[in-house]
Amino acid sequence: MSELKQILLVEDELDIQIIARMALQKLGGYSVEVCSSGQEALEKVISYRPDVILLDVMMPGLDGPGTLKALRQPVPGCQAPVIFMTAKVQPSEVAEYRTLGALDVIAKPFDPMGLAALVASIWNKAYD
Amino acid sequence: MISPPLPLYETERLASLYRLAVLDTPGEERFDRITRLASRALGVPIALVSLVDANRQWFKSCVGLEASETGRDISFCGHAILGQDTFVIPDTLLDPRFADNPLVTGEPHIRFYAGQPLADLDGLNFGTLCIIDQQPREFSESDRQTLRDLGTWAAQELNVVQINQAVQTVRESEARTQALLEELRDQKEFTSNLLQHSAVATVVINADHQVMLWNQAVEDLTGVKAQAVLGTNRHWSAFYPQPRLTLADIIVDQIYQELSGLYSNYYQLPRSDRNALHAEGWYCNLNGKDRYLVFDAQPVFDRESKLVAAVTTMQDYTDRKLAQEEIQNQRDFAQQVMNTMGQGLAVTNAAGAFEYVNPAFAHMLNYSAESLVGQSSYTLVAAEDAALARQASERRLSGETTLIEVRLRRSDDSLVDVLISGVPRGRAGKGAGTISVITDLTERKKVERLKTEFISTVSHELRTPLTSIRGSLGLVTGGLVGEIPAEARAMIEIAHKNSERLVRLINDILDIEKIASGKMEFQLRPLELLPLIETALAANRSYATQYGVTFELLETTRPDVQVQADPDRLTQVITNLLSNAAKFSFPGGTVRLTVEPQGEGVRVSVSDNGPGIAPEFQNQIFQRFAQADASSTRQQGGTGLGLSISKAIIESMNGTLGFQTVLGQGTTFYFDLPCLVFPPQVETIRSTAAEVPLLSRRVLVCEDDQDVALLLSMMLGAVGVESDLAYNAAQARQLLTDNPQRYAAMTLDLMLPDEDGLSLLRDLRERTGGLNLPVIVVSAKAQLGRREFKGASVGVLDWIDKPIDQERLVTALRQAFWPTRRDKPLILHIEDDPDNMQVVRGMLVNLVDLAEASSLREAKQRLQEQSFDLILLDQELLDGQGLDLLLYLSSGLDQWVPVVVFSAQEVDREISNLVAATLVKSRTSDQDLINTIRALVRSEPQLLD
Repeated sequence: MSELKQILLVEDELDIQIIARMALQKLGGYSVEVCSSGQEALEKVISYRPDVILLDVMMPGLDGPGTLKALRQPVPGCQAPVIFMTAKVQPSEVAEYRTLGALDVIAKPFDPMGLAALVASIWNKAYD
Repeated sequence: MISPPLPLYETERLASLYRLAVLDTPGEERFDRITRLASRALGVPIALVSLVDANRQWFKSCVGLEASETGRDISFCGHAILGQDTFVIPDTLLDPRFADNPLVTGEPHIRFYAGQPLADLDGLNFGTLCIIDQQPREFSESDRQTLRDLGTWAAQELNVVQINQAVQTVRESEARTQALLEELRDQKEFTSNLLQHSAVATVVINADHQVMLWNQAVEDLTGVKAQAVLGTNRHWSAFYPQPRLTLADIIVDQIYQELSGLYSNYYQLPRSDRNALHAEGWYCNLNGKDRYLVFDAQPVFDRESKLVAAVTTMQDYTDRKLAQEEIQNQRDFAQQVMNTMGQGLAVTNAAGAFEYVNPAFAHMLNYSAESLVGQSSYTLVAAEDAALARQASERRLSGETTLIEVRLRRSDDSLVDVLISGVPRGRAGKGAGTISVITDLTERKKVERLKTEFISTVSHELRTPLTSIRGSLGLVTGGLVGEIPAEARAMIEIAHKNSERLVRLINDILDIEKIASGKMEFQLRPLELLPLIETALAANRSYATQYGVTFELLETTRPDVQVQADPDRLTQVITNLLSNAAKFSFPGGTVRLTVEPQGEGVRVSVSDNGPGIAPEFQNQIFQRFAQADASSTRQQGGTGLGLSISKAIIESMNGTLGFQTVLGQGTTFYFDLPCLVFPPQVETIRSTAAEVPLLSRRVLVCEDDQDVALLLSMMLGAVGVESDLAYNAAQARQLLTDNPQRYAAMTLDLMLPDEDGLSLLRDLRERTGGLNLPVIVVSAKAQLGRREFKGASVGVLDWIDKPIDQERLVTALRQAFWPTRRDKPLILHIEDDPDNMQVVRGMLVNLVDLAEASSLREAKQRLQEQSFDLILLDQELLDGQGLDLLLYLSSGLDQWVPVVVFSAQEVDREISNLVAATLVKSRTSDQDLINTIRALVRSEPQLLD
């Protein structure tokens, strides 16, 4: 697996977009692209090839699980690992996200200072 | 001659003759008197009383003849007894029957014979009174009459025994009759007396409706005296205001069709062919009070089955009836309650079959009450809950009342959630069945579900903006948007701190909700307790530091003790207890965490030396939002939910949570968990907390924020270390230059007003006489700084983030003061070739402590277990790129460890940027390697020198 460099953040809340982008760019040094909806993400991954996708679960229109499923379709055929970001993190919910194919789950509210390290550690754990 | 024929009733005649018992008896005057009289009165020489038996005639009395008997065949009397009248032969020679008779032709030469038959009382002739002459003669009517009279006399004399016997018999019979009559009279009297004095009120009327008996009991019952009604037909008057028919009247007249009109509450007894009647009812004001009377009436028949009387008995059932009615009222009341109550009610027998169910229960299950009775209650319980129901029924056997929540099956197979409160029946409570109250939980469940959904939604909705708030504040306080004025920073930090508290509060409320609804999920698995505790301790050190509190771990169990627990939840509990203890400790205090054996399990205790818990608050300690006083919630930054949650969590893991407290001395919270696999034997006692006091050497605190500088100074002071403060790089440089030996270590903020902390550090390191002074970076940008330095050898002991973890600071300081606790540096050598491993071991064995790993996996394992002073890494490893380890080291480890790549090939640029040094095996002498290592661990100068 190549090095973790490019992250696609899919999040409908503009405020959270700003915070997460800053945390990932400034503290992790990653390249971050942001989409405000699942639909937008499906188009984005055609031109932008993320190493990992941070995907909000609760979004209007196409939600997180729906987006994940659509990403894996022949078009766009994106296989990048997906990490869900959600406030719904009861053990059963987390287990369900994993069944859907999520690499991991980051609970909201997240610690912005630790976000980059957390993503890196999930990445390392999976691809060492 | 003609012999006499036998008479018609010869056998009976002979029997009668023998019964006289007179044959062959001596002569008697009473018969002789008659024969003498006959002889004289009728002027004949011979007169006889002759009795004819089977073969002869025998003379009881005889005048004028010597013989006492002659043969029957030649007898004249044999002929005479054939008729009823006097048998007369005037001249025997002229009668062919007798002319040649030897008694005619010879002695006594009979020429005349007259015989009067003698009969017994039944008219059977047994002989004659006869007269004989030896010359023929005439026999006049007068003679005949005389003989007849004398014959009657003789017959009477003969029959006198029998007559006497008959008279005797008649007399006896009369006496017996008399006795019987007397007995009858006695019996009648007895019966009458019996009835008269019976306690059962009895009335008898005859076929004319006249009262024959009205006993004492009736008088007592009705207040009507016997003389008032006896002989009259006014017996009704005792019971009714107007004349009417009573049961007895109906029986006497056989008018049963009247019954239904007269008696509403009657029935005919089973012996209905005899028409016995039963009726009962209330009678107003009967002898002073209202009475409930029970009547039984039946006919009396004589021998010819003629109805002669009717007997009525009556009993006063008033008290019994009132008691019955009372019971009935209570039953009716209970029934009404059971029928109208909203909850289900079911009564089951010992076998669990329904004896009674109320309409609400039947309705709940969509059955009719009738169809449920007799059914087994267990068949209604959903299969998954059957065990629970059985268990409850067993507990009820021992007299316990049970409360269970189960699902029951409706008639259409759908399930309904119910709460069943079961009370054992019967005094002893031993297998007598159960009375159950069943509450339909459908609505409650619905409300619960709505509540859960609501809370889940609300918490999500709260968390979304909170993510933004906490996130932006976190980034500002983290320094990512640049420096901000101190006053603003203070405000931002307040906001940040409270946003975090709000996050905790929401999490706690969700937990409480999950516990309350039984939906908290536990993933129990066997796990080693001590590593989990150590991790929890490390994670909470920085929190404790805020309060100037240190943690200490003391364990007296086997190090591999295991418990069955959910690791995340258990960590949550330990964190809660540690943070509580820290909050309530005095600054500078120590919180002691003890792990010790406790019975079959293990006890984990967290003790503080805080103020203790006031007695009046002790029993509320586990209640939600419980804090000793309202203001402490704000002061202590807690949610007031932690202990309540912790207790529930521990109990869900089959443990118990409790506390001990002494006012003014401190509090210990503890939980006990059952142990798995390993009994918690005491094996070793070790303490991870260094109890060695720090020497009184000074530490230079270089920190531009005066408050933080003060805090650092206090923390150091708490462990006995004095400090000097420098508020900028220039001051620090000055102090170090003026008196280099004064300081044992320095804490360094990276964001100094006049200079970047990192450049100061580089400067200090590069100066001649260069300072080996150990440095601890304390900065909000500590991790960034560490990243920037990567492999650069700047001898930083630790990079500590703000807020400051005091324990971590102290640990780093100890390293600065006593770097020789290990007398050699500890190096991890990662090498897959055993020969190379051997070579390096030979080179370094006397200089360092060497740990070895032959794979990346093993290396990570070692790195997690302990910290190393340096890592010696082979670039090519069997199970992955050594480079990956470098990434792991930069993100996964708390402490910076210098890495030396020791490889067979030239090392990539990419890698050499990440590490402290690279050495190519073929070109590196032993001394090169030793020098490099020495250089990298030189911050601890006494090593290797």
